[in-house]
Amino acid sequence: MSAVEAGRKGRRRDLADVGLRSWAILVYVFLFLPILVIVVYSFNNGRAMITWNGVGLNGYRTGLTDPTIQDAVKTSIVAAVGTAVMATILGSFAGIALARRKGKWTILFLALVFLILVTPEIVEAIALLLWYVRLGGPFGPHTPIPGISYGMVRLWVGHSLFATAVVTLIVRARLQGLDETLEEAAADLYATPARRFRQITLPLMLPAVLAGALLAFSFSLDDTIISSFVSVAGASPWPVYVFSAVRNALRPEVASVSTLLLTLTLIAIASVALVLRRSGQSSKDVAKTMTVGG
Amino acid sequence: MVLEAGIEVRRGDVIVAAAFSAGDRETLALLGPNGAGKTTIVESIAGLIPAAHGHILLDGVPIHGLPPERRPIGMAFQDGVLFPHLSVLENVAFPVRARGARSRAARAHALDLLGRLAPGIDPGAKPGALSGGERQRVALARALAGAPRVLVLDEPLSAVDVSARAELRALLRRTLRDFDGPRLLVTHDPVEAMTLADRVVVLEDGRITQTGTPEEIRDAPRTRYAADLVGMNLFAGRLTPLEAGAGALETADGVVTVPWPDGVAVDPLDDVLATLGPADVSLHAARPEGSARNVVQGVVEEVAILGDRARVRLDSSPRLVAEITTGSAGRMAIQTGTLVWASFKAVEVHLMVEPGAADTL
Repeated sequence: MSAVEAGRKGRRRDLADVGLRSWAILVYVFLFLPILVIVVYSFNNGRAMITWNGVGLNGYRTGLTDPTIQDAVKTSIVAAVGTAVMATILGSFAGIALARRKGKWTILFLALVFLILVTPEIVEAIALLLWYVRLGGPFGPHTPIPGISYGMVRLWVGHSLFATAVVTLIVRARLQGLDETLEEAAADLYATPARRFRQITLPLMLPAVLAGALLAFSFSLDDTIISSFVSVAGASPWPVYVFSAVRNALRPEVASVSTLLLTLTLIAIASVALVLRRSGQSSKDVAKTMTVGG
Repeated sequence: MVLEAGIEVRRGDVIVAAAFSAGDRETLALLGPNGAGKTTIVESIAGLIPAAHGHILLDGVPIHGLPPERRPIGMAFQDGVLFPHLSVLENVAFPVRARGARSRAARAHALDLLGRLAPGIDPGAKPGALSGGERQRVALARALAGAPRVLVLDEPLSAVDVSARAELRALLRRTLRDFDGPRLLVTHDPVEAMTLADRVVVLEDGRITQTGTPEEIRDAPRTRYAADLVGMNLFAGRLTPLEAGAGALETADGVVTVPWPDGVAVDPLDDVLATLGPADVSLHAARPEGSARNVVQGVVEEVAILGDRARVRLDSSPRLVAEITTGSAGRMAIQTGTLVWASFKAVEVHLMVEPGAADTL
């Protein structure tokens, strides 16, 4: 091959390289530009969100003082935290069972979990509403649980449905990747079943549990369909508020509060990453766990 | 303390059965090819796999009904199986804590064990940062830390670099010798079994095919596997340099000319082990001509026929086992009492240099 030919080939490769890189950048811009737009418009001082009228903090001021918005955000956060707790506990135990106590029913249970994931949310929402109304009890206006609105119980249970399935699969995947001989070694080394779970199984599955909790939290935070169907007046979460606000005109405070919630999610991700780092995981492991790569 | 086991364990479609006993301060090797069921047997003794039938007795007291955490059996697992989220120190302290010791006492005990078995390993390090040999040392310390009454080593050298093996083998020898109780060694390496064990149980396809001292099995292997792997000539002694590239291995009953080991300083060495395959020894009716460096004369003590091969044991200096075809055994009219010449090339002798020499590598 002559030097000229080699040069041409090299240039062609460079061009292909530049092309691919630019393409990748374009994809990221496409993905993140809408979020950027929301962040920028959260500083809009105009009356309607889409008509730009100078930079200012009016949106944030209104968003943080309006009692309806405050209620909606509070409902959203309480619902998300509750969902994370409920889904994490249920999903972790289900994941352990599916990974560590395999039997002839394992496949069936797994299929059920996948079924929850693929069921259209609108179907789940309608089904839940009918079921709540029929059940009553803690899901109805005559709830026996003091201090907690039945609307909140409906949100927790409704959001946990999908979130539990997600946590189950993450925890199961993590435990399957972990050698069971570790638990056997602990048994040989005089550790009782309770001690084995506390000191070996639990710390090893912790990254998956935290990643699952995080996903459950963010899933609940942005769920609109189930929330629209099952929430009751006075306990409507933020997405439901936004959805109804669209019918009139979107005001800048919608963008401002959405930006705050985005920040909250990022803080949650960062704190989970921090906990994982503290528990001795390498940054590569942390990244892998956070992206549900095992 | 005596361990007696007679168990049948189901592993998939295969049933592994074994009956043996290990006496006080006796090292029993379970030797067999991969997949023979050796690990299944010891894991069942430790209580990690339920046995379908049988009994496990410690000094006559049954322990087969106990859960694993209540059986006083300390196992150093294959590849270590160290807890990845705990430091080396916490790993070794784990069984001590599990038996109810306070954190500080457990750490002190663990540090003491680590100092003896794994000096030079940072107690604060995570297992992921250790080499195969270091992991095995920590696993050994962890197995001993809970003060078990039976010590089990499962393939302790299989995940260890060849370069680190000699040193670790010496440590295993010391640890086994000093352990006060029955010791089980699981291995597929005949040299490990022959050099570390007092008695050997040969396990093939889930069945015991032979039990005996290393010498008994070497002299009269009962199966093809035992003959091929265990029935090796084993020489041990002091290695002194001859001319360039060669050395003389002075054993208790004769001298063997061997190739000088690569990368080892040309100085006399003690405690050198060497193996020679019986098939590499050829027999002759008259003194052979040719290039073989080792030529000895001896009287045939025993002829054992295994299929189309004949194993011939010679009372020579050193003592040798040769394996030849039954055809040539017939042609030479070899039988007990026949006087024959045996020869083998120096390069067929495989040396294993023990510690001390490792420093000069």
